[in-house]
Amino acid sequence: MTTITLKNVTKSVKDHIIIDGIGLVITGNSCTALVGPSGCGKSTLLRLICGLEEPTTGEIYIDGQCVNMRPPVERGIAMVFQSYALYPHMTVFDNMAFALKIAGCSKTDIAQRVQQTAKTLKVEHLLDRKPKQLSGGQRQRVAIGRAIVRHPKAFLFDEPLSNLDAALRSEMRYELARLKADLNTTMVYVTHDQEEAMTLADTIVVMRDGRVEQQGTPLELYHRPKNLFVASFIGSPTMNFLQATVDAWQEDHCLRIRFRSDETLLVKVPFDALEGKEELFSEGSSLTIGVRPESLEEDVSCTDQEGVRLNGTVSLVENFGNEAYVYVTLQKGGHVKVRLAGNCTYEVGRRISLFLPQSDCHIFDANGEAVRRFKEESLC
Amino acid sequence: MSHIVLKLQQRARHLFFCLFCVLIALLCLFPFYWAIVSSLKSGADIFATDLVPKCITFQNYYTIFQDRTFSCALLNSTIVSFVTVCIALALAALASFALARISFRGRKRILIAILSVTMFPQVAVLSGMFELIRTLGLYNQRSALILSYMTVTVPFTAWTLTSFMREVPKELEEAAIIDGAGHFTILTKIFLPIVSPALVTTGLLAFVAAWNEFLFALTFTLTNEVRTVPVAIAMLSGASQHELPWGNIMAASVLVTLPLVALVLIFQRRIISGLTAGAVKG
Repeated sequence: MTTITLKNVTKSVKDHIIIDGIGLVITGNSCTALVGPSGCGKSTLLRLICGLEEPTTGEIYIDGQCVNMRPPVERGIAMVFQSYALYPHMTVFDNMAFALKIAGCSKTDIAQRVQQTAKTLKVEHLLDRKPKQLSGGQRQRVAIGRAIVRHPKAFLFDEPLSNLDAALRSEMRYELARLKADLNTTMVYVTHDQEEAMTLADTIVVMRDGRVEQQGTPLELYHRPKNLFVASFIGSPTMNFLQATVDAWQEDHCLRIRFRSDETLLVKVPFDALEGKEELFSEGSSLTIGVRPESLEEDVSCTDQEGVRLNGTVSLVENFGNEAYVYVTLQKGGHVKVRLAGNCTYEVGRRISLFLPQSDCHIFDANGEAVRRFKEESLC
Repeated sequence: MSHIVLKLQQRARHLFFCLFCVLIALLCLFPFYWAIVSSLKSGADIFATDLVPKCITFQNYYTIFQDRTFSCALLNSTIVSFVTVCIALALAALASFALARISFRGRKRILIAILSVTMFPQVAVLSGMFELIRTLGLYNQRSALILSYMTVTVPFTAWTLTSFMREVPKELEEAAIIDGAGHFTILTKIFLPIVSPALVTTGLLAFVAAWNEFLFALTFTLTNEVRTVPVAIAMLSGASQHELPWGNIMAASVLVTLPLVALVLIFQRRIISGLTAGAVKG
């Protein structure tokens, strides 16, 4: 159980701020994924944790102890690099044994630990080879083995799968998930691929411009994104956004939203959700309505639900067989992407009527902040 | 039609290129060939201009080894060059690691200083060097040559190795840091093995420079016991003052070149690129 805590950590190089006051608790025995677009500081955060870089201000705690002044090796942390960083002149065995040799372990102990690790990673037959004789997937395994063999308190992965091709990536993703279950230690995983984060992580931290936008379980982030950025980053294909305005307030905290197509929709908003930002919800203020491609339905017959109809024409179809993503140009401007059944054909140019259920709307104010909804309490 | 012309053009170009290569090779190799040929002639034959000697004799080689001077000079050259290369590489390895990998104030200035030192002509430092060696009491000793050769070889090797050390991926160093290695372990266990082809190459060049050096060797030595081969060759004299023993000089020159050729042949397998293959992606 190793908990990593960051308290108000900043990192700037010259005048450029890379990490901007991050406070974060990474709980023990879980996998935390740091995601965000490139340049958001996620790799820097990882390097701060392992000690390759020093924070400008703030403290980093590992197991409750401040490690700011400790060199990487004393932090008891292992890191797997994006480029693997295997020592090219050493055999696989020596690569894995290097840290143990420096730590002064006995020869028999080293041999035993390396053998055991190689066995878990299925690389026993490669121990005598040099890195250049290995394939990408094998190098990746050896790099992971080099981390595991030290029995570290925590593992840091810096985009470990981004150098592999698609087939190998999903295979390694499965292996990492298996390893995670076996090792049962703290893992921090940096990736720009939200899919990897969704499948591997227990907790996802979404970062942007050196700040944490939202931290939560994958499903929390999926169902309750705090703002437009998180909403657009999590989920594949991405969420659709529609421009709308506040039409009127009705009794019982019902907000009437007017879409561009002049359709209106009544949504219920909890009492405290708008506290302090009432002016953003005055009549006529603009809103963004987010809706996931799978929430839209083509069938217009379901009238028992509250919702709104969107009319448009099909502009592009991506049919995967099991499902089809249909791009629809709406009549009054705007596009939406909708997931429909793969067993139908959708001709380009055909008119289509979509139904957007009220309960699946994400409402964002003019600042991009999400408005909490009633139904959300029951979701997670 | 046009593609036949094109083909002919291509052939002509190829032929021209081959001729050019042969010309350059001839230009480079002829002096060496002439030295070998001359060394195998004796007496008045040496002034004949035949490309192939009429009769081959090893008399010249025999003559230069009759006197202890030449073998002594060979030994001196070997000791001086070998020690110079060893010390220069050791110093340069440490310096270049710091210059390439550790950021400190004035790093760039030191690099520029190193580069500018290599640009000084030898004559410019000769008198100062002479004073230094006299003060240190090293005059007419092999250590005087080692010390003075290092002023040339250390900056050169340090500069070259620095650029090679820079090429080593940063992740390797970081991985080693996380594995618990200190600066010295990183240098000896990670960097030096990776840049070993560069070490061999620069070491070889430094060896050649020390082996062929003439001016310092002439100035800082006095007696035959400490002279190196280039000076010894220049001092070779014939039966009379007015006779230059060309045959002996040529034989000595050929012999002096052989160790260098042998070294290059021995190490050529190590002078290979791509030793970092497999370290990082790719």
